[in-house]
Amino acid sequence: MVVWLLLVDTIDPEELAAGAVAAALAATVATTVHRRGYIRFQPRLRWLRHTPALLWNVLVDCRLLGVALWQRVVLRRPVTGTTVRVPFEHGGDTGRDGARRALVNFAISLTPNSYVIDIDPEAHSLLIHQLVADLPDRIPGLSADPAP
Amino acid sequence: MSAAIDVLLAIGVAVELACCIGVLVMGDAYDKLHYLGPATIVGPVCIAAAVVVQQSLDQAGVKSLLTAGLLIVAGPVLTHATARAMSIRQRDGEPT
Amino acid sequence: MNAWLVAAAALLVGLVPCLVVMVRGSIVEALVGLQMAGVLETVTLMVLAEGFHRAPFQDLALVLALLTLASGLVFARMLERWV
Repeated sequence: MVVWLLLVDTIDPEELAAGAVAAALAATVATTVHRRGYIRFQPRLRWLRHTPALLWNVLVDCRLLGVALWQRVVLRRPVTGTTVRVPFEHGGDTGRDGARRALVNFAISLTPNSYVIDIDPEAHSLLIHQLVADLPDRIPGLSADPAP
Repeated sequence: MSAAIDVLLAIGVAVELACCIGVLVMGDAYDKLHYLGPATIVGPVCIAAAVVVQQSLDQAGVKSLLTAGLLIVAGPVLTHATARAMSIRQRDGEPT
Repeated sequence: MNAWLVAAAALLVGLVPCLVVMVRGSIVEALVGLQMAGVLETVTLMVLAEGFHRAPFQDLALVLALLTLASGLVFARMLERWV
């Protein structure tokens, strides 16, 4: 509803009604999907404390990519990325572990110098590609919830 | 204020063009993919900031912020999906 | 002519490297070029909206951002096994 009002930039009764209908429809779909268990996603609010470090890593990685581009275009040196396997506790099928996997994947792929190629559940590892070899980006503290 | 808009525009355009050159000159698809990152983060944020400085938070400013936010979320998702597709193709012996 | 239109013209030049990658690269490299072009055009529409003082162009940019995400995911999924 909030996004609808931001987009239409008015509080005319007709727009409010249309926004309410759209919001109800979206909420119905979301509730149905959640009840059938298609998507289990239960993040922890305290994971947001990693956001400042993540934003800083984004800026640092932009500089790394700029240097790599300079080396490739101006200095004519070859630049080749590397693939790194990083230990990662896969966890189970709970909403918490699913959210952790998704957000770790998102956070690593957000930083320009690295992204996740694959998550290996058997080997408990992440396969990460880096353009400039660097310490693997890690989001500290995101470990699997202990088994009940 | 006009100077701030010009600076933000210049940074945004420079980052986007640099990323296009990066996609062109880097070796394989794995290396090219990295340059989607700054193109979906720094460029849109600078352009959206320029729009907000020009228009303040009216309809255009809010929509440009929403667009930039969407691109920031889309970038890592697309990057991972493309990298995973290439990894599967390589594993199955398909040309990449 | 204002700074926004100059910026949009400069951004359009960025389509050339993307096109070269799409034409000359492998199939996955072409997908990367396509995604880059989609992002570039989204930003260009944002700039053109200000350059022409047409707020509805911002709606176009928002829709294009959504479509770039959706189409990129569909192409990547198709490339995994079906192409």
